[in-house]
Amino acid sequence: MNGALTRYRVIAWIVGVMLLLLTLVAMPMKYFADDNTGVTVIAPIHGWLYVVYLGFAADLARRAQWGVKRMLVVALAGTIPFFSFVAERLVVGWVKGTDAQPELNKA
Amino acid sequence: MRLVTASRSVTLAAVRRLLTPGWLAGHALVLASVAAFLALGWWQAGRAAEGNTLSWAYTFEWPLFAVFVIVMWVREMRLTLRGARADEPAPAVEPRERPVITRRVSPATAATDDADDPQLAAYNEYLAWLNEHPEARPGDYPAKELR
Repeated sequence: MNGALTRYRVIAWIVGVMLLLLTLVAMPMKYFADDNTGVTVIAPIHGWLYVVYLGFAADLARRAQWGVKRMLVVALAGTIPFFSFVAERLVVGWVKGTDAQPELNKA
Repeated sequence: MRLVTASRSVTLAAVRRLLTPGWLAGHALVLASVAAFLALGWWQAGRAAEGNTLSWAYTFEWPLFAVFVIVMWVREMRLTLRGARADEPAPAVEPRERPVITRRVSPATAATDDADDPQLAAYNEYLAWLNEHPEARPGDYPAKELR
């Protein structure tokens, strides 16, 4: 569970940063400066990283036994700038909250 | 024969559970998004064929998203039928009575067959001595002639 959570968190940050680069740097470059290089480079990378993001999210959903609604929130959050960071915090809360192991050392 | 009828009625009940208005809306949404994703993939395939290199990635990604939606939906149906979702309460299932497990405890019978095995006899003697001298440590066990 912890490994799946870490994998998801790492890819959520990477996808989030790539999406910001795409929307805040590459898109203005294309539409204001008429320079396609940023989009040409970042868009395909972001596209495939998003596929990886979905894969890791699905793996986590399987382990944590989430229903489809949570999965939908997480999947859509990865497509909206800034929202994957919010989703990452949300997911950590879900996993730590519902799947926390009892503390054995608690007296 | 009885088993077959039982499993068939379970399946029918299961199917009925997935035909409520909420579920039907979900099925429709899934079908619509799958159709839309496939159409988008087809559109990107056309653009890729026209020479838009960027579209090649999307040509494969959109169908992949369609597959993802189907996989997630099937998983949702199976989880619901099993009632094993963490984020939503499981459907009410009549609690089954827990079987009472009893184990027969047979008394130790070691003492009876000491005679065949001098080593076992010595060991049982040693254990008996330890039992009689609770304060003693194994090293305190005296030689046979001193006992």
